[in-house]
Amino acid sequence: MPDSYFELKNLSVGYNGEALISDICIDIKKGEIVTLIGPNGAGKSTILKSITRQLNKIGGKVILDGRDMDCMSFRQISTEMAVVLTERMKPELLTCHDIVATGRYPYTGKLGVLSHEDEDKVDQALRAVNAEKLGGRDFNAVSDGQKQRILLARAICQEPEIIVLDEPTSFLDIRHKLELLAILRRMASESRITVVMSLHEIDLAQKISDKIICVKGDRITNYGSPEKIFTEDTIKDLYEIDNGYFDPLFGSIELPRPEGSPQVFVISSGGTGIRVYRKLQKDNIPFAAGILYTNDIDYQLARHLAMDVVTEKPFSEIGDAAAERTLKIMGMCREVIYAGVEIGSINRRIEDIAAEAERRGKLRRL
Amino acid sequence: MAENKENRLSENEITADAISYRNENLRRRSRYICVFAALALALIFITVLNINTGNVHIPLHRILNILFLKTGSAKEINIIWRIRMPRILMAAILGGGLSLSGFLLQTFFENPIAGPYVLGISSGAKMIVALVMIYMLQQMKTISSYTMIIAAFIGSLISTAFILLVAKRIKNMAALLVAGIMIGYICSAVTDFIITFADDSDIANLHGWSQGSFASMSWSNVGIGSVVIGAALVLTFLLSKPIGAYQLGEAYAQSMGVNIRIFRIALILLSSIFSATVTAFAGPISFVGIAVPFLVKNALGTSRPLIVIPATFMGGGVFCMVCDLIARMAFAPIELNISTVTSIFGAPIVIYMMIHRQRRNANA
Amino acid sequence: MNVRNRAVKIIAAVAAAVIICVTGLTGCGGASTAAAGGSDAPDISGLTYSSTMKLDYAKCFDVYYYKGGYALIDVHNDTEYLVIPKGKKKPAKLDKDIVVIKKPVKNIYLAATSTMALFNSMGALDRIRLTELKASGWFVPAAKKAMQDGRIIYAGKYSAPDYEKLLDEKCGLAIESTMIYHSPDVKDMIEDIGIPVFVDRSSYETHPLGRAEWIKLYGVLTDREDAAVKFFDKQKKVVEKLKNFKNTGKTVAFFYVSTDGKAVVRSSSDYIPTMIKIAGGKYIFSDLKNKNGKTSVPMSMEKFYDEAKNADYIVYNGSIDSTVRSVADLKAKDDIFAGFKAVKNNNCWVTGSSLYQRTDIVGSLIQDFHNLLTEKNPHNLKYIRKLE
Repeated sequence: MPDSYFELKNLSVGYNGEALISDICIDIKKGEIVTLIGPNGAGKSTILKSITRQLNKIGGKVILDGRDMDCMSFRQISTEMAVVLTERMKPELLTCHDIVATGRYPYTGKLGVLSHEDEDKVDQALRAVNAEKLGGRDFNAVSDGQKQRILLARAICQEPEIIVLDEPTSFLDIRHKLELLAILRRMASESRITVVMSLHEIDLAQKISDKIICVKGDRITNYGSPEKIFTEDTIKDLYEIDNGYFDPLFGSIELPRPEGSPQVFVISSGGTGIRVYRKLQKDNIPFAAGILYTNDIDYQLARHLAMDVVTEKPFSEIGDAAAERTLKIMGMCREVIYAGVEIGSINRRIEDIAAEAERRGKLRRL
Repeated sequence: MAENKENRLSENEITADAISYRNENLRRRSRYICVFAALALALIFITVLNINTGNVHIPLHRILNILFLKTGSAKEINIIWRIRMPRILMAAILGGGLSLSGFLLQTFFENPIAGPYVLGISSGAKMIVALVMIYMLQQMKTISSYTMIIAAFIGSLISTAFILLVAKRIKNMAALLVAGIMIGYICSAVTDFIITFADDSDIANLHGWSQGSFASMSWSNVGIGSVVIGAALVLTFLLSKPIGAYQLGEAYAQSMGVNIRIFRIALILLSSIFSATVTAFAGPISFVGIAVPFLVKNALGTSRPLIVIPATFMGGGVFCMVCDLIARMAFAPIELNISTVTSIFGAPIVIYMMIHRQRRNANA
Repeated sequence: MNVRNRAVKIIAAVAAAVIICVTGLTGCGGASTAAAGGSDAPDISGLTYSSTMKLDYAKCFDVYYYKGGYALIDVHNDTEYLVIPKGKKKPAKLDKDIVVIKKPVKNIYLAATSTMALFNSMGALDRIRLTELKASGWFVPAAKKAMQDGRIIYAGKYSAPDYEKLLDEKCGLAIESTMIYHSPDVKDMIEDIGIPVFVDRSSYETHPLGRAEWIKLYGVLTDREDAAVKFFDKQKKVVEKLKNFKNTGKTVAFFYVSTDGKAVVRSSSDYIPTMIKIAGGKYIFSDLKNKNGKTSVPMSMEKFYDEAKNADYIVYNGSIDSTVRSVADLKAKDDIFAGFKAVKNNNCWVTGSSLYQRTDIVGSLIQDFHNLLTEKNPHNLKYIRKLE
């Protein structure tokens, strides 16, 4: 393919001559961000180690910019590909500047002496990851998150065309996760650097990647854009989730719903019900929710967490069927929580239902 | 934990300033220059002290005449040129080589406690020397000093070959260290086994040899020693760049273009050439390989190989010359064995180093 | 860069190996091939052979005289030494393996302690300036006094001599025992600073008089040949008087116990068993040989007990192990001694530390042994003491 930059052709990877994952055929274009997702131990790291030649591949080919990587020397590869790994290292008496400076390795002379230009590039790389102030510090004295950024700066300093990262966000708190991914996004779109990485946080993967690779069992089970991959069922199968849900729309993860016949009925709309649902879920009280329009935000969550949801078509008046079902369910519940509903011209009926609940002595207004 | 919080706070400090890499390097360069100057001065001072010290007192002006004008009484010329100078030069050269041997092993094992004698190299040398000594003395009644040198060299290389073989199978560094220690024990056991069958008189001097000594060095020793160690020094210096990459770990080094397999072999080979040469000429000398690189790195404040390698060599030379001076003169005319002196200085340094490292690891 | 690096490293390794091999080949061996046996005087270009020294008992060396005062000392299975008279030159095409010793030989460094007594007996003590024992270690009274007076000084053990002192005292010759071969680098160093090394092999002589006859060799070195011959003849006479003793048939066990519990005895051809034989006794081991040709033979206590339990006399070698001063000390070494006939009969003796050093009093020693074997209550023995 003409504008394919990084290609895996029938690649098989594994250890000691035994293939763990075979027949990997992937085409990556320049400037794309490609993320591997999959359960623990699926082989994401194995694939990444194989494409960086840390691990000997079992079979197939890896083509980098039209050249077979097997025919390239480590030196040639190092001017094109940089890595950020999960390995913890403990170099002694080296500053963050020194660590980043090793990225210039492929470009310096025999003894590795840095030119002024090289030194400037080190500063630039640190600036790109917002870590200029850390430059003079001893590497071992900075936090894990900072270390990760320094290592990313090192990779940037290597001026690669493609960066390979193995779970780069693992040790980071939310702020630094976002920061790191934002940097990667910027690098990909501004400098057209291809990014290949593995992530555990599938919600982040969905939001940042151009392409997703699903690794499970002995094959790539899925490859495509996040829109295609991130359906509830695909994710559920990939990770074999039987104890919760993943909502691809918002990329959110939910714990399983409380099971049983509903004891509480929640009346809400426009987001007011969400915290109630969550509290009930934590208290393990099965509940029902309604009457929710299917375009209501509460509906997105209620359909996972509630035992039963009474719905109505969007922008329609509340119909008899919905009202009757509501009353029937309310009859079985011991409590009705009124979390607040924006009453407009078409959903006045909800007020009637609320009043009925009050008459039966079950209503609680929030 | 407390340290991490501090770091995060300081990031948000408006007053915290960022230093550019160039400026940082300039600042550090002056520190390096100081350390090197100190080492050079120490080298000169200890050389002068060594030339001037001995059981026979020769006044300074006559020494200068002998050294630079080559004039003086035959006896004094012999003392300075044939006895003192070769010994001083060998102490410097072998001391430098030994500390570089330690440095290379510490790089290989990514552990600052690794040293040439931890891995049983001296035990291997002692084993072969014992074997050859007993065989030659029984069969031929005499043994030449070059035979002993070659025996020690071959013994060191045999231990190294074992380590390399094991290193092919074991990737875990800690396990490799243990394997090295075990090889040392095996060689010691074999040596004791051989000694049991030998007459007391045959191995009378084996114990003395195994404590190390810079005495009885001749100019031909100096010649060979300086050629071998000089060549190895140059090669080590040329390895500065891959060593610098390797400090980040094998995976990163490889991603930067280092051929890991060849690099690891080169490290072990060079380290062994250094320690084998030292063991061959002067017997096993302990602690220099561990203590000197540690001291030098901390004095310089960096572990960048381009700076550390020459400084370690000089530091090793100074260290051994000082220890040799003490060995010679502390209880004159009785001479202490050099390992005794290096241990007295080296062991406390190693202990301090281990505590310091523990404390640093606990905080990080 | 990888391929080039590798090539450089391989070349360096090969170069190092070649250097080592070359020096190894040139350095191996050590002992020069001297004329074994010594029946023919070796040809030395530039010198004419004149005569050979007559030796009565010594078998381990020969001295060949050449015109002009030159002498070649040939120590069998070891080195040849050419002694050059004062003012004369070294022959032009002299074999490289022959060690040159120039007369007059002064300020000798004596590290072969058994030769001190010989030097003293021919009046050549003044030629010695440095030794490897301190004053307290000497059992030759004249040597002890010379050290206490400062005429002879301590210069370090044979394995670690003070080279600077040797040079400072203008040492002209180092006389070493065969132990120097265990420290070849020391021998090389001494020769390197211009001092020739002579290795004494007198302890390999099987006859005690052969051991004493080495005084003639040292006489050649110190220009005291007449005094040496005179002394030797005197000792020879003493011993030859004793040769006509009838053998009493009494057996003697001569040994010491080493630190690892073995009994170390002499091989049957050693000079001490020979002395015992001359004195009229029988050494307990009639046919013992050390497979390596050494004079001492270590053996396990069991075997020693088996062969020596019925020896009439026990004479403990006090010159090597001086810790045994009473029968109790002997029994403390090993319980099994209680079962020895000599212990039961209270016939245990010990030689003084001087036995090794007093090579000059061969005759007196043999006389002592003889008195020991023949008198009922031996007393007044000069060099052997009874264990109480």
